[in-house]
Amino acid sequence: MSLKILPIVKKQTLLEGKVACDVAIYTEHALWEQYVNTFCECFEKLNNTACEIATGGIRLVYDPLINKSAYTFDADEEIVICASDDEGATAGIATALLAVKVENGKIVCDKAHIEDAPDKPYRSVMIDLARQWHPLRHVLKYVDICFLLKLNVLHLHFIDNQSYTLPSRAYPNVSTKGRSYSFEEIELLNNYAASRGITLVPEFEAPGHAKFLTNAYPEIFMPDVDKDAPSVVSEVGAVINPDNIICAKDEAFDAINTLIGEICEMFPATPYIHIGGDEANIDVWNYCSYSKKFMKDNGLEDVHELYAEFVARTAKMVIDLGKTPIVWEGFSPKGAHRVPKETIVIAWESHYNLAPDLLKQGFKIINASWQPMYIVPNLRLRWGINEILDWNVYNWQHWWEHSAATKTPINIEPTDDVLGGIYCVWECTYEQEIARTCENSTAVAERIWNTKSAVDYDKFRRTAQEVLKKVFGLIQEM
Amino acid sequence: MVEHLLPTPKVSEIYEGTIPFNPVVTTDCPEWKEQLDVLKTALEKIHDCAVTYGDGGIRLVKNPALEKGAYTYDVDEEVVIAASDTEGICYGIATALQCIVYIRRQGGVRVQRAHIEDKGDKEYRAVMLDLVPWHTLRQVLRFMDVCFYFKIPFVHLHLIDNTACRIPSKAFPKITAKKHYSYEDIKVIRDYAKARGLTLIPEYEVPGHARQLGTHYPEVFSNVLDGDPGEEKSEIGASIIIEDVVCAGSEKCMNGIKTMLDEMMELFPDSPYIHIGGDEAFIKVWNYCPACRAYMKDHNIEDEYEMYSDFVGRVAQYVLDCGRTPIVWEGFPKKGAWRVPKDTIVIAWESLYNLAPDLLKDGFKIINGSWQPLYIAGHRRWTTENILDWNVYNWQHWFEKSPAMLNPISIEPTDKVWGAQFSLWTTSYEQAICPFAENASAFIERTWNLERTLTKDQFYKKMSKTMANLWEMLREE
Repeated sequence: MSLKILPIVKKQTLLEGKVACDVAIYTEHALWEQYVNTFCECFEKLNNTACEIATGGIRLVYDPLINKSAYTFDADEEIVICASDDEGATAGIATALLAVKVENGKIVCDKAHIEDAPDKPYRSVMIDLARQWHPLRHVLKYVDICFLLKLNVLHLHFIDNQSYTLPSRAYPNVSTKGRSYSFEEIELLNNYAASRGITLVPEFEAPGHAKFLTNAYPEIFMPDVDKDAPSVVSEVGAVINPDNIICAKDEAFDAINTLIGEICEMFPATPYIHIGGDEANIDVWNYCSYSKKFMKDNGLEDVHELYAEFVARTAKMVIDLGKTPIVWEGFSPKGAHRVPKETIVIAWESHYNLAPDLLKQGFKIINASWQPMYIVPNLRLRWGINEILDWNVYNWQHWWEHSAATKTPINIEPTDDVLGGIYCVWECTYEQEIARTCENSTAVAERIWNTKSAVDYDKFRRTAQEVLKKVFGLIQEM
Repeated sequence: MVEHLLPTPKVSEIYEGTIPFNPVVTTDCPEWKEQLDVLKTALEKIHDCAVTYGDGGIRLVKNPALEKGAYTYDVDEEVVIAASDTEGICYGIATALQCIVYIRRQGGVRVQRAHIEDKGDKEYRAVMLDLVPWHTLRQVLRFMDVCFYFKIPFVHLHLIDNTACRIPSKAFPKITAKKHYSYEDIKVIRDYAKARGLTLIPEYEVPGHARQLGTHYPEVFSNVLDGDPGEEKSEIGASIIIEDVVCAGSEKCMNGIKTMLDEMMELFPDSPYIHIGGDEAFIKVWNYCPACRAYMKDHNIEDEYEMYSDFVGRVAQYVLDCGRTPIVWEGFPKKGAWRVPKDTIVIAWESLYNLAPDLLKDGFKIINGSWQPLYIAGHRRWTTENILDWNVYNWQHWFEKSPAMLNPISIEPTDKVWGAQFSLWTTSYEQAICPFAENASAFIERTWNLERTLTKDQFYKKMSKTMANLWEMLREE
């Protein structure tokens, strides 16, 4: 017997018996009052019992001796959570929500001592808000899921060919009618995430996947192409048309700078801005007079160099605004030297620029191995808990014949330069994705929080079933 | 596309080429105005466009020559859907919703030129929704959208169980949970069902699973014990307590049940069927209740098992007296089965208390609700492949006490198996909606068409394609 907590805690000592306390929680740390509030909100939802903010119940204690991101959970004479920072405190709260229950009007917990800390700092889920509209209410549920499973980063794919879901004051026409969030909603989302210790990573996608931008402001973004400009087909058969890419010219970069500036303002708490950078049909630039001129003026040899330069320019804009840029694997090794080394690259396709090469080029990377870390509508491309448990952050797999990871998965030596992993949910509606996202996220959280230990499938599943009851309970609508 | 339609139509001829989707709908049959609106609204949602009334797009036509529940679907210059009744036209509309699709390579929404003639094999194709775990009204309607999309015309609503009662009651207001469907909500559900050709089957569960009655109105419903009946557990290990079972001997209790049934029938005035529960009752309790013992003696009832049949029989008879048809879960034993009116329809689900062949021998019409593979219960569920391998004359189980576990039960095809039911138990909307929709697509393939025509891969290919419009239809704006 042990407490049913996922990801599995690093160290758990079970003691004899149970501890009971009042249905209350308290902290003396003023900045953590929001976490105590979150505990009460979630506790009431899960246990149908109101939890007071008062002494006599669980204590959340600031303890400077505890490592960064770590926490302890003690259930002995009383129930005490200790941490030295926000990440540790919210992880401890999540553990408490999974560990305790209500019996006879008291909070009850099996006596135990837990010491826990994550192996990787970047544990993320990505939701595609651009291809399928998700009302804010649904986005908040993903914050809850991440919170309970200690996935500390929620990546929001706000922009793609289908829509631009963020508001903008400078370029109001970019926002898709009826399918974009208001400034007030973004603020609400920020507060909700902050109170659960979740870092939001907003994504602004350029130069590809940008049909919405090119069509909203063609005079700024649209390539000036002749009829011969080619379409290409992506790995899942999507046609990438010439108007899916932004042209390279100064006005376009100025506008991107303004839009990224607005996004930074909208998400003041996040240290990261994602700038897209994948699946751009860069051959179009060979047919675009603006882009050809831009290449010539800037001494760029070909479109591959321009691609890297484009990513580099947007990355620098983010850096100048005091944040760290993240991009999808997309720019090729040629020209990679142009991209600032602070840029974090998500290695997903194992095609355009492979994980070992990106590391050699000096980038820190995040693992989003298509297989098994993607959810897409195609039912044949579907992986479950077992496949995710078999994966690790130093492993890349793929089903696509053109990927270098298809026949032989790519494995690298453990390194801190792999910051973590990200589970990507693409193109699905809420109804389509939610059950699978919750279920598979238990395994995703496990493999990124604990990179070393192996787990027993059956035992993991049994624990996951208990944890999932709480996850689904937390996101249930009342 | 027609080739991806689920359930697979009986006759389909696919012609060369597609026509562009013209977002205009019309009907020559005034009584189908509601159905026309359902079609219009669904197309608007799926294709994110405005649909207007007029000629040249989709036409709903009355063709009295077609059988009950049959429809034809023809695409040439326009889309023509024909049926002789509302049931048939709803199936035709569902076909149109699946066949009108966005084709990326053709740059728009297109309709394949085709001719379809279609009709389901089994009349009773049902889904049971366990609404005791709280679901918002909106979520209930989404489940009904799935039923509509896949031509599942019966929706059984499990509204009361040990943990909560989700409907209002004037006679016993204390049983109703704080979170419940109001009279207005029920009306919304009924109207939504009616417009989509769905028949609702509300369930009022006795004698077991009745804790809400026993704890809130013990003076009416509970057994008064003069001994200790011990303990009992359900097949998934849940404790069954004394309050879960109503008294089978007292007149006051039976009158209370009749009052509640009256209320249920008033809430669902157009439901020809009323489900009265009847499963997993802790009947041993009755031996320790003087009122029950006295009743048994007066009615020559040998033991609690025979009493079980007698009790179910009395409740079923009341439903019949009210002009409706009772449906019960497999639960009452073979002993005393003659005490249950033969018009009662039994859902054979557990293959334990009373097996399908025995129920048929005893003269009942039955419904196949085989736990395996037709249940989704929390995280327990089966795959679409498991469902494809099943048929309406086949019962399987994972439960060691069920005879169907080691040797699945198969019977000869008979009309006495009225159809089948796919049940969704104790789960939340988020956990259930996707597995529910996917498994429903396999369930309907095997109940609309008794003869299996698809391999696992062929089915999978169809399902992959045909789910897309459904997800759009369920999406919240």
